[in-house]
Amino acid sequence: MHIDWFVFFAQIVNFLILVFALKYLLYGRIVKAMDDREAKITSQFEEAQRIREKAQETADAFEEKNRSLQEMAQDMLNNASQEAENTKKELVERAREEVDQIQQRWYDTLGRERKTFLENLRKRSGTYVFDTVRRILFDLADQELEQSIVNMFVRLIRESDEETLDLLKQSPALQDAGIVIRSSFELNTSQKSMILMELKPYIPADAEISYETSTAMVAGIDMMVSGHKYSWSISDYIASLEERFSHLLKEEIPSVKDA
Amino acid sequence: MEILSLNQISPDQVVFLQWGIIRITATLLYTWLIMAILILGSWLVTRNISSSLHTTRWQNLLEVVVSTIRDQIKEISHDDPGHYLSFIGTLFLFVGLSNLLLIVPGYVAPTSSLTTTAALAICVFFAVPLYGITRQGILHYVKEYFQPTFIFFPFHVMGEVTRTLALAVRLFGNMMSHDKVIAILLAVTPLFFPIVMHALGLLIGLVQAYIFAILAMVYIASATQAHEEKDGKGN
Repeated sequence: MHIDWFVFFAQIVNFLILVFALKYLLYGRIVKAMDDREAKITSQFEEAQRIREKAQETADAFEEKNRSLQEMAQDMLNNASQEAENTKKELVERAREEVDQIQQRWYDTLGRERKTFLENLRKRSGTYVFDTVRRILFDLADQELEQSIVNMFVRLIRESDEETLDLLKQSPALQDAGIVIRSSFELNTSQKSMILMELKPYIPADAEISYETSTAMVAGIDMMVSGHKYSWSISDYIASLEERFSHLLKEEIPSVKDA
Repeated sequence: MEILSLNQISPDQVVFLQWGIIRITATLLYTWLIMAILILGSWLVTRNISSSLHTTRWQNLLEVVVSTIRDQIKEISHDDPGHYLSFIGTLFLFVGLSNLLLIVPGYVAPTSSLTTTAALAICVFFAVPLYGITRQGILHYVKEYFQPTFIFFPFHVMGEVTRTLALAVRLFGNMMSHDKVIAILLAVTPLFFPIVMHALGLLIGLVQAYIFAILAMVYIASATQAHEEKDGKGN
């Protein structure tokens, strides 16, 4: 067991050569490659982390936007529902008003028709009653209806209060326009005389008496002096008839209001 | 064909060429072979080195080896392994490959020569003060030899020499004896048993390489850290 000194130094040199060769060819390159890779992985990881954070931010923003959109949609839906409800109420109200108006128009029309009917009824029934009564009077009592009416009128004046009749003299209307006697028929001379005779004690001598024929009156005669009216007409009877008809109509059509 | 006969205890005794004092022995020849394998292998693998995630298998292997060595150095030195990687790494790779190639018939490990192990131990012997002085400065390093008193100086020197000697002889003894044991066993039981012994030899070879490199690192670390610890306490 001995040491060969040449080999000994040669091995030292060999070893040192190997150290420097491997330092350049192996360790330097390998370590650099590993460091580079580590840096690359770190940067990639940081990049991935950054992208993940950005993605998270985007996702959060999207979530926020989505939530606000949903809230907006809900608000719009609520508003639309409210508007639809209001419109519905408005339309129902309007329809109800229209129905009421149509109903009211119908009532009005019905009222008018009833009024016209009653008017016609009064006229026709008056005429009919007049003709009938005249014929009856003529047939039974051998009297004319017109004369009977005049008689009735004269009797009415006669039975009036004398104080009232005295007032006729002071009546300013009498001074101005005279006495107007209206009748539904033309008075003949004898009838006019009867009336005049009855009135004479209560009116001035020069008082002017005029006679008018009114188609509006139904079988009657009247005189208006100083707020007092002296009149007789079968209108009163007809009014009673009309009232009965009207009552009958209300019973027949209960929904029809008294227009 | 065995180039080293049983009665030849060292490959230094096998001389191929000789001019005066220049002797090309089996030790030198196999050392150059190992150097060639290491250098060429490194060059072939690292000439197209890639820092991307996709690397070649050989590069991967070298990265695993280098990073393992770095981890071991860092574990012992608690320092940046870059300073010691070249020296310690080369020690481990040279001794390791030298021992592993024992599996090749006709090969004689240069580490089974006391000359080689002594040369490596001398390298470590000089590397220890070199690293210590580089890290701490010559005064601090030399002062360590006189701690705790100057009386300890010869003991420190003796310690340095003996541990270097131990380093050389341990590796030489293990590798040489393994060589001889295998040769004797081949004569006694030529079948099967030598295979097991070869496998064991590979393990022993790697363990010896590890021990050699780790001890070298421990010596260097003790030279660099003794002062650092003292400075740390002083602070």
